[in-house]
Amino acid sequence: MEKTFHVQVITPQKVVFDGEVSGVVAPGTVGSFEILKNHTAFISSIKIGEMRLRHEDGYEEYYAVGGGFLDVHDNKVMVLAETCEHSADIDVNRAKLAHDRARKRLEDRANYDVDLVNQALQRAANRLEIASKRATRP
Amino acid sequence: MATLREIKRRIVSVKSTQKITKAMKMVAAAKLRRAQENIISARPYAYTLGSLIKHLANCDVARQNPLISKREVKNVLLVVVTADRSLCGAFNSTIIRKVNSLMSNEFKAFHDKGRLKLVTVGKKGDEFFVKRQFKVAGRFYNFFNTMSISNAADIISSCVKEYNEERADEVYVVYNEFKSALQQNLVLEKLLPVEPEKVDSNDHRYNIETDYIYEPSQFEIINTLIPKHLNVQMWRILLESFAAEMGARMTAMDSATENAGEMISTLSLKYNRARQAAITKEILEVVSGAEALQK
Repeated sequence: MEKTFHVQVITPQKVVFDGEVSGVVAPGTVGSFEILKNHTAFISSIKIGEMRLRHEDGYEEYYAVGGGFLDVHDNKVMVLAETCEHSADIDVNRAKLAHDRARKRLEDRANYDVDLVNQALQRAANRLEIASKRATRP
Repeated sequence: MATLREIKRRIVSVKSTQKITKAMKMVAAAKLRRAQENIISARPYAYTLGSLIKHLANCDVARQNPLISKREVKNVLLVVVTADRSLCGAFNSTIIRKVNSLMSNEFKAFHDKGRLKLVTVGKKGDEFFVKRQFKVAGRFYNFFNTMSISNAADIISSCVKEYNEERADEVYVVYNEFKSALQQNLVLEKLLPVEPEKVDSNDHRYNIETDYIYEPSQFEIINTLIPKHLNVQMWRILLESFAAEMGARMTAMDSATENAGEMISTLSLKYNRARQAAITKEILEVVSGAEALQK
């Protein structure tokens, strides 16, 4: 029996991934979870973190997501992410700059919205972490 | 009759204007293509989010969300989307005219009591309404060329703030929708409160009975989904408006280039006639001078 199902990863800018996989690991706001074939209908919000797509041959791809939603029904998974980049597509220099900028702004709390800066910091740190991971073969 | 030199000067000036309009047309065409690509790439996200909203907004818990539940309308907020620059045909003036007509018809009751406020997007509309001292609750301009979804989010957050603090009970948007490069549609849309679309009962996907698991809870998902939905709506509106602007500019500049060409050809005709008349006159003078000498 086939173990794959259809996944679409969509951001406001473009469709990041559209194809068949055998597993999706996503960072839910309540905790990380994995979707396999024949999962029940499910909607979850996801936070900033790491998303993995596992292909049928065990090959795993890493993505950095910046929050959004995941919707499962009838063996179709839809990931609506605000930002989402493949580990190989991450602009490391930009993430580093963003990271340093956010750090600096945190020291100057009076002038910036701390929540926003914290989020920016998280996003940048997440990108840096995921950029360092390579897609793995088992 | 104009002298030769005057006509020549006019031809030169019209020619340089033609060059400018032609360049503007090309730039607009290139930007239009980019804007169209943006619209197309934003579509999948907007559609999927829209269908999620459709599914969720009809649940009972959704009505607890203030952005969905209706209330008595005392104050109205109108978001006016124009362009930053002119020279794009009737693009800005149709919007401004529409807003004026809304103020004297549909929203007259609110406008007369000073309960209608505007949020201007784009410099042209801003200049017009600020100069005429309308109540302006937010001003956004000079971002169309480097537009990103965060611009849309800024506009939405100022609208939502007005709405949540009950300074506005309904929010509308007026903008030009992109139909084709030659055609723009003027659209008035309600932004807030969000109105869930009717669900087609044959479509089991949106059937409320389908057992969904929600994580964290349905209520929380709706609360985070609605602001995103609004941002995407506004993003779509900005993209549409930008594409429409470029389309309008392209056609306006195309006809301007054509008109300049016509003007040049009539002027050159005039120039050649005047030149010929001058030559004939000179020959006549020479000939009559020679004849006078012979006698």
